[in-house]
Amino acid sequence: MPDTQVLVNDFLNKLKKRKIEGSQATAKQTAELLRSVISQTRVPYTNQAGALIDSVKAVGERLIAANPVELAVGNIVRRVLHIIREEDLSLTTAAMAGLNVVAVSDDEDDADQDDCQVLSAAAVAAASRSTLRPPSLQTLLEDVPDSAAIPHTSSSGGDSEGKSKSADKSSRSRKLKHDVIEAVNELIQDINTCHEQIAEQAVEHIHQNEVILTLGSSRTVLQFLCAAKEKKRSFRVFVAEGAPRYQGHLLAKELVTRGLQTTLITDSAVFAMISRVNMVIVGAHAVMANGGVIAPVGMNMVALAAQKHAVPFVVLAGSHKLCPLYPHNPEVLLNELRSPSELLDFGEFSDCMDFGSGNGAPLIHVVNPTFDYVPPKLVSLFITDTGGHNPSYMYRLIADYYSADDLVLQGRRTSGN
Amino acid sequence: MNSNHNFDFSHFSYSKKSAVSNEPKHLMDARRVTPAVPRVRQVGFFTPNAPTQQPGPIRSQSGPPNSDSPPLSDSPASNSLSPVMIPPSRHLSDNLGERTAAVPVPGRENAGEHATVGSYNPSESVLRLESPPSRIGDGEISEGTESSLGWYRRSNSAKFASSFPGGGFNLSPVKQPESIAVVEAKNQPPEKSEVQKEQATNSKPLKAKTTKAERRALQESQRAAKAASKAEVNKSGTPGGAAPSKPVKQPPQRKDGPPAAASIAASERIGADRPAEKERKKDAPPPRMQFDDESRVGKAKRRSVLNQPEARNRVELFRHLPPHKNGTQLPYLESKFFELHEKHPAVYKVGLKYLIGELSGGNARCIAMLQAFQQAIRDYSTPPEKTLIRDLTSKINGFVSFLIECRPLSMSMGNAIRFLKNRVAKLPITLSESEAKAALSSDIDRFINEKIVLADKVIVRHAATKIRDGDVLMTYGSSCVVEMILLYAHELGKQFRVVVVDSRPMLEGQKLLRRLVAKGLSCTYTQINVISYIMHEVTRVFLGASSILSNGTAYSRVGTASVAMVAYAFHVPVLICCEAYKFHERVQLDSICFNELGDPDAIAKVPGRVDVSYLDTLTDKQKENLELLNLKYDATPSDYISMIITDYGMVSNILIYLTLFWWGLLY
Repeated sequence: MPDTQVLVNDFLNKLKKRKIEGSQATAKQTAELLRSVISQTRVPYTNQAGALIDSVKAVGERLIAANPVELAVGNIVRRVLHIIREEDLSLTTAAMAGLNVVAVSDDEDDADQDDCQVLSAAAVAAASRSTLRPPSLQTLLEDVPDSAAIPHTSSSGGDSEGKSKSADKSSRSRKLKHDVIEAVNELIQDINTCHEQIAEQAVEHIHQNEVILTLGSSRTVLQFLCAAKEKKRSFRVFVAEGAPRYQGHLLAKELVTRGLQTTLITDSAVFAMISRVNMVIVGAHAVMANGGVIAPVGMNMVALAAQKHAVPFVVLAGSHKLCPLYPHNPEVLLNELRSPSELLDFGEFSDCMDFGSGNGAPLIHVVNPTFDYVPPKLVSLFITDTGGHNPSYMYRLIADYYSADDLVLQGRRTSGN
Repeated sequence: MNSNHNFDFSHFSYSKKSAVSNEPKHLMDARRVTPAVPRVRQVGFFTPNAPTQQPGPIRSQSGPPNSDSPPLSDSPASNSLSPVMIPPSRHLSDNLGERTAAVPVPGRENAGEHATVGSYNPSESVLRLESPPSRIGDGEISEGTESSLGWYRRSNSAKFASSFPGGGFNLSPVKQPESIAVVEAKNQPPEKSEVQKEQATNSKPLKAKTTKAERRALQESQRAAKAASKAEVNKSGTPGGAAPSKPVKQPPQRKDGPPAAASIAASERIGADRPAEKERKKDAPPPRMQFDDESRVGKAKRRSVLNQPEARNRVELFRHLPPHKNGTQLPYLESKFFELHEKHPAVYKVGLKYLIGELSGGNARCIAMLQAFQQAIRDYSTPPEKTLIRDLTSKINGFVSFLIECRPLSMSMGNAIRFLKNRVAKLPITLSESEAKAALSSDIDRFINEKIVLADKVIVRHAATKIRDGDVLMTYGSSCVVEMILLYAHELGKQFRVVVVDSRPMLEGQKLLRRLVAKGLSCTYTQINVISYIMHEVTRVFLGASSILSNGTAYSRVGTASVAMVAYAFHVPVLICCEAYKFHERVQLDSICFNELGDPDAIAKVPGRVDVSYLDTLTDKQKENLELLNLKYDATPSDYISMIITDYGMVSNILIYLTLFWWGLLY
């Protein structure tokens, strides 16, 4: 499969050079790449899921390594893996149901089949118990046992292999790949529409004459605010410019052209202004499993100021930003230092750069990180495309999207390195 | 120190004064516990054998020679960041003895008695010095640069409590000669008599209205006369009566030998204090000009020199503040240079410098303003048919309103103007014009020297004790005091690193960075957004302040509050360095009711970043929705401030409140 190799390398280069801006674009491109990887993967007759998982993992690990800070890549890789496992399981259960019918009519290998069936049913039940699946209100009301809908289990791969022998092999393998690609397409669709889905909830959160503060620029925030504006809400927005990238200027421009009353302030004035703000609405770079947020630099300051003045701090995040990892020392480990030239003009300070403290060490250090970590206690609410959630609920949400098997994907890679 | 503590504590209920001086120690024990504040003014005066007037509360603190308490500079604790470091002046008795003995008292009638009294009750003797009829001492005083004693008698007592300059110097690594104290004592007398009057009379409002200048001047002089007569009464009544409303000082020495006059003095003081207090109430700072009040703005416009800029795209929330005036009016103003006769060229020049932002920084602005006034006073001659006091006051009011037009005054400048006006108002009528001008000129010199230059030196020495080897110090923006501290500590050979935090649009930190690096300090430069990233490594945050308000709020360059907040969240101590003349009795809870607006266009443009030009392409129609807000200051809540370092010592927050309270009695 040379063409995928080319695609992968191309994407790797882009990631390494940080050519792709924004986690949504990254997520979408990752999903598209993985889709083509899956479609190019030659599936053996046995263990198709295993083969797909292996090839996706191999590519995924390289992608994650290319830009470990862009958590969306890892998220999408894990979700594709999860999709594969899920589709495989559902195919297995479907096949088993079929087999069951066969077994009833045909008694030739009943003992063997029954055994298998009991085993797999037990496995499915165990899986549903182990995967922290939240009992949804829907299922409670409709009183539908959701065990059948529950997919991912660590043993499901092995189980399916064993049983796949007895299933119709050729049709199944084609079916699995087809289903996976379908599901990945759905995922891409979800990523594309997450902004709209989040924005739909805007009117529920923004009231008339609200004063909203935001920092930097985020497409999610822009669409969220515009959606509220379209619903005839009138409110004003304070935009902190978000040095050193000054994306706030961009957001301010977009808002102004859409007729929103906008005030552009410097980042230093956030504390001064926050006492007159009703709500802080910001975008995020990634949301961690503990509910902490990796966000553009300066966000922690805003969150602290909001907490001081008891202003709700609302984070908008598409579900592709949910990262199943728990952060450790995220300020350093999940951060990236950018060029000092954004802060200091090299030309202006070139004469100072030569000063050494005797041992040759330069006297000036310029620190210009990209991200800030906002601890979950400072966040009032997450609004994702599936609705609003409390920070403490994040880990359950994550259980919906990821298989527990894949969480260590990155860990194994790093230990391998 | 412990014994001292107990001792003082027992007197807590006796006198507010001693309560103030006690404060530091409470704080040491329990930092933010608000002590039960005793009922304010009465306390001191109600005690039957009211303590004598001992101006130096420091003495009250360490009362009897406290030789057992080790000098702070030697103790390891002096390096640690205890919430309050009140240097107990260690050889107090020596110190005082020397002070009193060494003071040359020119023309003091009871010099002999004074010496003897001084031996056991030195403060009493100092008080004696307080009532010189004229300001003979001024000449020497301006020479005696080492003195950091305030004009504010009130603060003398209260703030000395936190650290007497003498004691303060003991703290600092560089030993100051004992002669400082002598100079101080020398300085005290003339100040005191005047300050006392000053205190009795109403002080001038910060923002003078030119139209009312005449009336004001009249009032002022009337008040001055009243106060003078009052002061006369006091003086004649008691030997120590020079301080009518001076609260009671300290108990310890009272035991040694209460002067017979003490009780009389106390009763006298009660009488004298009441009216003064009443006047003080009247004297609450006048409401500031609110720029959303159209009629008043219209009036102001008519008499203004500058063209008022069009109020275009003003931020709704800040309509009450004067819009920023940018430097584009400079040519216009320069052309009017020769037309405006009533504005002295020196003042005019300073005003223009304010306007174009060439002069910035509280101290620099204040010094430039005072020097311009000094120049103007030197060139001043009283017009016929007018008295110097009234005419000069109205002149100064005119200057001030011109300066306000150029740029709103900082609170510290308000204090300086208030001081100067009081000085003018208190000029004895008997003085000839040249004498009066010389007196005022030397007063201004003295203010600059003592309140700013020397105060900075003292702060630097105090603050340097808070810097240890291996520290990582964060500073925000560019505060000249903080810069001096860093350079001084570097000169002392301390090994530390500086994190310079900066923010748009002023980017003052870059200039500071350049100066620090040129001196060989190792620096890290970041922008304000990065503070929560960098705060992990920081051990102390040094910040400057434009003003410290009487609710403990630090009013400072915008962004300071954010830095302090993040430092607080990361449990890093925040030290605010601020000269005492910048204290102000206003209170403020937010940064919105009072602030200064900068040039809004500076927000839209990011110099050196061609890629950030999103706002340039907007049409005028679209721009109607866009407001650009360039705030200059913000208010840091007192909870975030671990310590305030002033020229009177290092005080933790709650103390500042009390100190300020007493200081507030001044006005």
